[in-house]
Amino acid sequence: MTGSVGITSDTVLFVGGDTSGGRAFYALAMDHGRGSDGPGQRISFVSAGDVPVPPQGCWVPCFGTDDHVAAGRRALDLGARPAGTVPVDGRDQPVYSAPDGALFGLTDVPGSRPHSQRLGDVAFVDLYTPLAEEAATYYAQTLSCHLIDEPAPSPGNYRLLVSADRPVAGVVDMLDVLPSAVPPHWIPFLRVLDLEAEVARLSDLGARVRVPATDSAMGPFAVLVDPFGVAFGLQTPVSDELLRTYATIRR
Amino acid sequence: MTSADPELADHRILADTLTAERPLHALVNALHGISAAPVAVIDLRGGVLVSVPARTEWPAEELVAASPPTGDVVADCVLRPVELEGEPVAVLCARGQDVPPALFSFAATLAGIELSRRHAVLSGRRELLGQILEDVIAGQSSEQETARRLGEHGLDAGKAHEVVIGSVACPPRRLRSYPWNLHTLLSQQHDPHLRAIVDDRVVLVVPEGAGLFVARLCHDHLSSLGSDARVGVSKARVGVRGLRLGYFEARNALAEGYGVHVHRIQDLATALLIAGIEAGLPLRDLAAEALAPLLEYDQKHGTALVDTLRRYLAEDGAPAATATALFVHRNTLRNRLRLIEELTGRDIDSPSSRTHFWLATTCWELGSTADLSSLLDGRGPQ
Repeated sequence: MTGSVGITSDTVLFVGGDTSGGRAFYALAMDHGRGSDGPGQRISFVSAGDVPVPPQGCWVPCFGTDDHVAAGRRALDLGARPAGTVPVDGRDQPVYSAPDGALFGLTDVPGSRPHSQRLGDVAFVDLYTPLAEEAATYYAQTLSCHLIDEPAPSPGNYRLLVSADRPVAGVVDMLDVLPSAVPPHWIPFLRVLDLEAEVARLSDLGARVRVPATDSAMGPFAVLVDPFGVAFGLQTPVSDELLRTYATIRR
Repeated sequence: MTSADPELADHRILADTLTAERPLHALVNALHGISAAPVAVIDLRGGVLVSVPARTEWPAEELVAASPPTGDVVADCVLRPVELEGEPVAVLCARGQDVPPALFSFAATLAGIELSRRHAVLSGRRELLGQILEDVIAGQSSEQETARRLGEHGLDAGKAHEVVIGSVACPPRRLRSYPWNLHTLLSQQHDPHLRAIVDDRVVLVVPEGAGLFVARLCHDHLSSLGSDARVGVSKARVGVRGLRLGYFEARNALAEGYGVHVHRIQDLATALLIAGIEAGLPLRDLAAEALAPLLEYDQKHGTALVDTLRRYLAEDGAPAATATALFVHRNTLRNRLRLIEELTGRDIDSPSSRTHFWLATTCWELGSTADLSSLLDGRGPQ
């Protein structure tokens, strides 16, 4: 473990694709194109640099640690490959390709930042991968998290990565819901209040609904595909509560 | 019970779902209960409206590409069209072939009935909103009262908004019946963005910064309805008066032609001209009076004097640029301009005549050829 600071999912990068179109869409989707500074998970739109990403782009979560160099060493020792760098805020951000092929980043975020509860922010990230068990173990070791297998009964297989009693990310067995041909990928979940109204609003902005608003053991959620073909999710504050509960009770 | 009774009972189960709290969800759920097959309703953009089980992965794009379905199995799914006012707007899908075909078709019909019912409710709301926007455009009610009425439709007039106006060559009825977003019907909400039909044009009021994005989507929608889809976007404006000005700015941008156009501040004169026309000022009468001899001559001799005049004014009276734009020799242009002066009795380069001709040709270009034609006893362009 890395001590009491813990791991946070700090920034979610949207890498490659039509960054200007994506920025415009998500600014409207998150409804905080202005004055979005402050604690909480941010979305940064960056060009792909030398990182291999699909033409439509993809999400890359960056996990904040108190020592990203040591975490990076662990990431490589455990089987990741350097995937290149992307420009973030004028600096080159290294990106790693995990053993299953999904991309992630590591950043230095010392101290414990208050967890954002703001509507429109990224509330959580899930990894969809056909190698769910292996991937969950990999991230648990790399990020020094502990792993909760099946925090709540659900139709599919779900694993929760937890650090310092806080949920960090989820791992979904992709084969429960998607064809095996789909590459492993991360999906950020934006926090909204009225799920169905937001599904309708975002659909009006050109998003396509892949999983309509539905209830689950992790709270109500929906999965959409943005106008450029990249999936993202919506969830409500109910999921914040449930995730926190699962992270603290089910040890 | 006869052997036909179970099938009748299944039909009844499906029909009864229309009285449920969420009829489409209940219908899909019932069909899944009867057949055990995963069932979904998918809109023609490939968005899943309802799915049971909820997390079933549907090859939506492949299924939608097969719409309207021919009865063949597509990606291991059977399909039926879901129609709204006789037009396919979604597909009912079931994985496998376990759903009795007659029951499946019946379910698709019920889904269409439910969507039509909800669409009628939403259309009614849009009609009411259209009336409010017409009052805004005409400036017929107080700022405070209009803001209150807009508030009932979810618009905070105190915030900055942009106006998006779209037009397309299609029957007005189709423009009104077109279901912009089936997800809105399911959520039983107002349109996420204020949307109404005013003067056979789509008018949307969207938050500041969303105009161009929504305009492009609007253009895509309109292009699927007919030819010559055009969309105009205003600047961001606050308040009811701002909304009114935004409407005229968007109308002005719309007049730029095919595609999506954003109002430019230098186009203010034209925006004011549109406002004048909408306010009932007799600008078209002026246009008709000024242009009647030219239109008549054009019609009789197949010439293009009105177009020549319009281009000459657009080029600030520069002969070389006008000749180039019209692909004619300078002498040809000179002859046409002389003819225009003879026919109208005006010196084309005098400031007053230029203003007069600019108003006339701009009114002419802004449309409503029907109105001008009536003034000209049918002599205007058809």
